[in-house]
Amino acid sequence: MSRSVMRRVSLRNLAAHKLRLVLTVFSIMLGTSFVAGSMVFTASISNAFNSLFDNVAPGVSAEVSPSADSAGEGVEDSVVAELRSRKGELGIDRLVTDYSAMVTVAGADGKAISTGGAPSTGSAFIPADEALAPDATTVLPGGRAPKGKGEIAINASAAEKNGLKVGSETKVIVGQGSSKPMTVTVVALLDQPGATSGFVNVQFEAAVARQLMSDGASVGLIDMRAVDGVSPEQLRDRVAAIVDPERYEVRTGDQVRDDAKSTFTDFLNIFQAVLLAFAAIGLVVGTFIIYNTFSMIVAQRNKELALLRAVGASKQQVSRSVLFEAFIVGVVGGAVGLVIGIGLAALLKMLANSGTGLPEGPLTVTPAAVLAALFVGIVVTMISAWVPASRASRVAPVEAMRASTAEDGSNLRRRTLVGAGFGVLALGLIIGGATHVGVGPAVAVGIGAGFAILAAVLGGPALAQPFVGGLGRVLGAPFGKIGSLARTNAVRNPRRTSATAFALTLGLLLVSIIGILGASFKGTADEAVDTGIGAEFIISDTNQQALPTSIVDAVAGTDGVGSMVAFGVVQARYDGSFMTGQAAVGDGLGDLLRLEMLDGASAEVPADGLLVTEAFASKKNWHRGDKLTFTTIGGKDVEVTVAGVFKDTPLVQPWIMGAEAYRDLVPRSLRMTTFVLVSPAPGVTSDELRERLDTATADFLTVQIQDPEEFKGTIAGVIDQMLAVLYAMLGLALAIAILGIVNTLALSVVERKREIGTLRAIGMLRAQVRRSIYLESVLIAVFGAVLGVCIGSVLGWALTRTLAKWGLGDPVMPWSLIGGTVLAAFVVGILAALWPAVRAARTKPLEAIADL
Amino acid sequence: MTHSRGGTGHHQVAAVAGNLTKTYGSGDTEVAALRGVSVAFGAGEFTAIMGPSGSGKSTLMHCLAGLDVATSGSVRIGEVELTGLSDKAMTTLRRDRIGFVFQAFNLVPTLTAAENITLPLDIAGRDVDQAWFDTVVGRLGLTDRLSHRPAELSGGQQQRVACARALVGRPDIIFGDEPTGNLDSRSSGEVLDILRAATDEFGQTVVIVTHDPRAAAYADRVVFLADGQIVRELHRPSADDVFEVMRNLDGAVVGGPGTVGGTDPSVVV
Repeated sequence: MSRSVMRRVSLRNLAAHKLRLVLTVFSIMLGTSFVAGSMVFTASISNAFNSLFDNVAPGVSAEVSPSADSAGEGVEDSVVAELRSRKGELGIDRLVTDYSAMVTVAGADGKAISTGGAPSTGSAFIPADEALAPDATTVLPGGRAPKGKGEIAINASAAEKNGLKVGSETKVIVGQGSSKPMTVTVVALLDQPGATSGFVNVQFEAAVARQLMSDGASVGLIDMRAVDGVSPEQLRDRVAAIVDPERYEVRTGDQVRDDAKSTFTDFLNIFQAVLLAFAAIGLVVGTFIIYNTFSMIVAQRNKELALLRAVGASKQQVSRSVLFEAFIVGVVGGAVGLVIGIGLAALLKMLANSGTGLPEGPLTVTPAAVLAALFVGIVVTMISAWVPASRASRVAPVEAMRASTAEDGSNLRRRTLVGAGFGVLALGLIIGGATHVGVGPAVAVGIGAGFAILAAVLGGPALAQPFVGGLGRVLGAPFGKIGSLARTNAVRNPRRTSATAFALTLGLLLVSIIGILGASFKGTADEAVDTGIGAEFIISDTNQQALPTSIVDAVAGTDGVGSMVAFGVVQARYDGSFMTGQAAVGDGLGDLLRLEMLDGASAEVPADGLLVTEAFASKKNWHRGDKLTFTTIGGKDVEVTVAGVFKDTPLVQPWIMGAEAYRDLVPRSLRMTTFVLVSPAPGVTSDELRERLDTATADFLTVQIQDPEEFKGTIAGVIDQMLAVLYAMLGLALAIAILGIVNTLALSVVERKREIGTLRAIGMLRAQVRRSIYLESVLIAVFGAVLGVCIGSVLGWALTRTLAKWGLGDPVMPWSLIGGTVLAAFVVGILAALWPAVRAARTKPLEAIADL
Repeated sequence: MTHSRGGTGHHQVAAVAGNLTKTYGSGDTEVAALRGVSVAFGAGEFTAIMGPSGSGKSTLMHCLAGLDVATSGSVRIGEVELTGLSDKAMTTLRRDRIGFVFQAFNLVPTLTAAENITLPLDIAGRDVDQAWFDTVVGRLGLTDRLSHRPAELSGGQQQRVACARALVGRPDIIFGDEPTGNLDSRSSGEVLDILRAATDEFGQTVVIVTHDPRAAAYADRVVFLADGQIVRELHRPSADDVFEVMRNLDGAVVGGPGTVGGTDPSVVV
């Protein structure tokens, strides 16, 4: 038999079974489209970021900025003066100073503009004739330079998105320093290249910017343009020789741009890793679907392959013919997957651009994405096909031709034993890990998770039989014989059932782990708030950012405030390196925050002292009464006494410093408030106080006043937001699971045509046929879901316990989530069965007699 | 004719086909499988339908049994006219009033013999008449095979289970589509004995399609089809009689119907 004949058999085969072909291509497409989609999406985003950063620092030869160590304090005026005076000597053609601060701006609707994660910055307006690159930023016609405190220029893209025009009146709050909410008028729209999507830039007159965004004795940064004949590198080196290298950093314009890119490359790498994790899940699950599909197809073709063997085709020829088919299908599936992946990326980009502050840019299809999609499609398909094909070719031709159906329940013993081995190993690692705390145990649980998944894959078929059987008895009971038919069909081929259910198993395993972690975080936070917060109200920023410092004055000046403490952030050197902690400014800390003090120390923090957590005190070997020396950025030493040690709480870490020490350590321009705790004065009710606080803070766009219950809700909201990825995973798993089950059921229906025909002939109604398929599907889906939830719960529980070191409390089971997912599996089962059930019900009774 | 249910003999009619036609395809490729077949099957009678390949005997049975829809003409099972019945009504009719025995047994592989036997009743949600079940199973010699799955049974045993499945619901009529086609001669004999006994002992109406003269010889009446029409009919023939007619039919097909010398073409209705 020549090679071309075998090839013709393969091709004819593909053409003759269109449904099969479509389903197989479909399953490959699922896996590859996620890979292609995530690669194209990240390439597009990274491209957009690159072009964005190419527009950073236009015309700049060299830039002086505060070094990373100096924690954001500005460049002292003396540096500016020195550079100005030595302009000619250094080769500086033009020098500009700029300022920078986080700002909150209201849109036309009066609400704070949400940038979707992109920065919202304030800076100085630099007129074109003073700018280093006069063409880079242009004022759109109709605008003019802002003058005085009441006028701003804003980038056109932000203005457009938020309904601001020249002449619009709006509010601006500068995030740091002591600025109060200001009412301003937009006098100019700025066309900034690369400033797309969420990015907001508000510009003030230079003198106003200096007043709002610096301590009055420094500038934000210095940009310089070199004279002709002096290279940026030369200028950089000359300037670097003059300024204090400890406090300042001097970079060329290219370095500034590269640094900006590289910070985002890190971000993008994480982003891509998350997306590729999704792709990996899609692919792993997709592989199972492809494998399952090919197993079924080869099983259905056993007779035909045996016939080829009987007329003289060798084992190799048969295998090769199946592989050739797989290759064709892989190429087609990979190509379709690529196209759909690009579509997915476009869709993601659309969603991302509307919901977040990611920059816009063209869709970038890299060769790597194309190759990855095709490679994955072809290789995974061929491997998936090779296993069943070689199994098929091992069957003696005569035997295969005689066997009527493709029952495949044999030979589970070895597989199950290996699976059980992995299971024991996994359990050992997980329990071993769960009884300890720290990184090592967490890693042990992680490795255990890998083994547990392997155990689930290998042991799945053996578990499917008793589980689906038992569940089928319960669920099928109300349906009588239809129920028992569905049950027996679902356990008929346990390999297939378990491979089909695997999509749900893996998806819900991940969902359970993350769900338990999330619930445990929430539980820990809830408990901390319940036991730790004595204040009636918590004032914080709606975007979990710093509050403007002026909020403190606004609250302090409100009638009816009894005790009040504002929490700030302290960054100072201690023992040679930077240390970050909290500061408490105000009276009544002991009442507002119920710290559990050790050794009977007072819960009030003295102005020149600090309170420290037990864990941190023991780590640093600090004791009550120790005098610690902190050093400011400017180099001034401040002595702080350890006034007490309190039990660890997630509310404040690692220490709280008194007001005086805070003022000494942190310059005014860098002070910021994270949250404020407030309780009413005697005789004032909570409701009264809340009303007054609402009025007093009305101008602050992003301030929220919450009682502890509401505050818990906010924390839960933040955790949920971080867990959004969980729901995306759940969605992905459910989508793939539906498609996988559709695939299996559709092929099963084809396989069982004769049997279904018989049932129809002896009187089974169409509705009954449909019902039996629904039930079968639900059984498969619930099996997968329950297996995933069980393994995931154990892993989540173990992982939470190992994380106790980082303040995570006892594991909390998210029962509603677990119940919800199992219910969702029900729905998935029914959804997946809709189409196959209709197909099955259309089977004609005469199929009972038809030759297969 | 020996016993019949209600003692009314074949005066009562279990199934009737009137001027039944069935064509497949259209235009040039049109093939007529049945060309105006009218035939009645008396209650409590064992009838065999015979004919050469392509004579339309299977199509006739499929139309009679509600497995296929005729192009024109009418079919009645008992008092029910099948023409124009909805799929649901047709399915219910098959379930409650018709029993099937197929050439390939067509048992559900995942169910035990007992479950297969009661399947039509279970689907209908009807109670199984335990005494009748025991009688049928005992008579068919399946008592110690009830918990076996089809794969664990021989072909003859599987076909006996199929017979029990057809009998246990006491249908108006049992149709057999080449019921011995996949069996050796000993098993064939057993199955035909059962069908014969079903008529004789239980008064069951049985209609089978077969190409085996020995199988036809078990019947009370043999109807011969050729080229989509009924051409001949024999009562209580011997295998040799049937064989003789078949041989003539095979040779005479070219000449079409009517060239066969018939003893008594007494087609009822």
